[in-house]
Amino acid sequence: MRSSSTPEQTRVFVTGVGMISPAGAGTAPFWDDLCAGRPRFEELTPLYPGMKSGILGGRVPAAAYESALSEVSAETRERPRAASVFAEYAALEALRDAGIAPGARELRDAVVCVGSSDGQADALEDLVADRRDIGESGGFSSYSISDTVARAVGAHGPVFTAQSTCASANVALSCALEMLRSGVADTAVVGGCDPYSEKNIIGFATLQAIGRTPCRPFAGNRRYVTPSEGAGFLVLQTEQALRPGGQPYGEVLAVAVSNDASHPTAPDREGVAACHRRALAEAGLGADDIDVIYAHGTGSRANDTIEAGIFTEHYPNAAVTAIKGTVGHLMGAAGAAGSVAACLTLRHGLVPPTPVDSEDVEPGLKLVTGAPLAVPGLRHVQSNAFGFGGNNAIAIFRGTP
Amino acid sequence: MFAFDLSQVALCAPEGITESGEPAGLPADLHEVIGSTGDQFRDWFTRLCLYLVHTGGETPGAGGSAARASGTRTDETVVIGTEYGNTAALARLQRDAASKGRLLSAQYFPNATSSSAAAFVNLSIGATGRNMTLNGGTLTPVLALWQALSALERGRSDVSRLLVGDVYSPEALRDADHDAPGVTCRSGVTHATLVRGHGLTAAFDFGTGHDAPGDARDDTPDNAPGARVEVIRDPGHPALTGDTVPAAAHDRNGAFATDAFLRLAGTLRAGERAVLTCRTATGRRAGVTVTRQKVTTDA
Repeated sequence: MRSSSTPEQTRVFVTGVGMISPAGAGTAPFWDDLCAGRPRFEELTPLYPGMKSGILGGRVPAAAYESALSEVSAETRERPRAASVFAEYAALEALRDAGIAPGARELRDAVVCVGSSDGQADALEDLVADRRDIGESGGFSSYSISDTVARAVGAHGPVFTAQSTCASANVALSCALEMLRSGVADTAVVGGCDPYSEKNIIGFATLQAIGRTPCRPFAGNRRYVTPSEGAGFLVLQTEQALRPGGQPYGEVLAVAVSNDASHPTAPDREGVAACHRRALAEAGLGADDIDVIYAHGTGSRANDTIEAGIFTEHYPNAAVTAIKGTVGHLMGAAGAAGSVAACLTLRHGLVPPTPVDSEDVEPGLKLVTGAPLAVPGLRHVQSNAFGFGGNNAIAIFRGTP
Repeated sequence: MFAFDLSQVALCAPEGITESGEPAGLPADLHEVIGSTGDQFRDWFTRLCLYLVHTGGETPGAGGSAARASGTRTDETVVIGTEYGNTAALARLQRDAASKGRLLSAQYFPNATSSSAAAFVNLSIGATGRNMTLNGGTLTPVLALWQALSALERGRSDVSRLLVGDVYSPEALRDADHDAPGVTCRSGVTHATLVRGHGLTAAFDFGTGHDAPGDARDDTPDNAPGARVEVIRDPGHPALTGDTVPAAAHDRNGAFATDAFLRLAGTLRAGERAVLTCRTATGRRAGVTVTRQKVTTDA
């Protein structure tokens, strides 16, 4: 074990990204759909007597799932659970992107941390409904997601799953960042994943938060969240672990985590604003330093009202976008999707549009609509993730020369 | 290496299960303490967590129970380490949706997420600091303690509340038995209040470089999945004191090892060490050594 006395100033960089989403398997289709503002929502099957028909959701396409399944470990192929398939696929893509082979020396002490809200939902739900037993599914403990990722990449360091509803992936990112900065390891494979969850769909339906019209973040006529599924992963490496000549996507400056302690489901303006202040303080930045914000932007009235108010008041110059209008709400993986997109923005200097009509956007909000926005001289990108239970987590990335 | 002080440790564990499947032998004042509002939608994991944080005494900066009741907020961090958490509520929502259909109450859902206990703990004590629910399998006690202490070390909070444990639903028992057949699964949750200070230090070891996860399983007593607590009274002469901490042995639920370990840490004299070592069935290992420093504050 390495010493845990590494100075706080340890710099941590993103060297690889991976993604699977309703856009398909891989970061390329994800980025293509984001830049095109091309949603692929479908109608979900009603799950209980009296549940509305025609509710929209985002699903990983069957072809993408099969493609992912062909690349994951034999153990996961033998007893596939969606969360493990998604997480392993995205983690392995991120590793390839970082130029690290599974089992490589860099991974010997590596931290593996996966954020997930619904965990191995299919395994638990199959057990409850007497559709598939534990022996067939392999079990539902959320730890099994991180454990299978760690085995797939050959990581022998700390391995755990972080669960903080829809802020899970950013909380996982924060946990991993703290460990790298404390000297526990020099590399982390970190991300978020969530599969389609019947329990989740049922819950959102009881709250009348999902419906027949798609997610329209920050639009005046917004109404519903569009639930989705998938996984996003990042490879984090400390400065001393960077390969000579490598080109990181960016530096992780801060990932602030806080709680509203206000309401079980409704967000709290002051709590969300406090998390923004914490993130800026931890990053050593002011709001004017943020050029681009990947909003949580669920398309719900409450969340978007609060975020839009904070952005217009404190970040008037930042370009804002909300990818849930394109890929839906990946639940516990939402923060990971935002982080992967933030890294791609740093790489390409482009901000994907939010697929809503510019005339419908909340007044005063600098929301990117229509075509991708080029941002020359891009410095810092922020990615928000919030969740039920008052969970808030905000990541700030800095571009690298 | 983290420095901290230990304010309090408490374990709440049912003595058994009633014929109706409810935990038995819980504190008589449990319902009085946690209140009845929304209780029908809570599961026992959330109930035990709420009971423990409300009976854990005052913490520095909390402003007292009266201030807390009036809505005063703190920057406290809450870390819950659990393998199965609110599984019982998740399963109940699914079953009740099938039977009740559109009559299903919207109040089920907030109580039926994988981090509902953490949410209601934060809400009930006004904690606005870092908040997370972590699952590291049988290594959970060490990983959760690391995150709780890191929050203090980095100045994120002055107080970290650590809750570790499980209340096993029938589904959780089947899952645990599939992972490690035959291992005892007693329900219970431990709550510790950790504060900034210099009375104790904690050094962690995540077993890197020693184990090869997925290699042939080694179930010899020293390598069996679960937790082990040791005390080193005389540095340089390790002495196992299994008789001192019997609750920690052979139990999957990290609550018992965490309780035994932290209680032991609270009794250490200057220079003495307490060691908690956790292992998974797949060969991963994590450990933490807490040492009493020469300059102490009361635990």
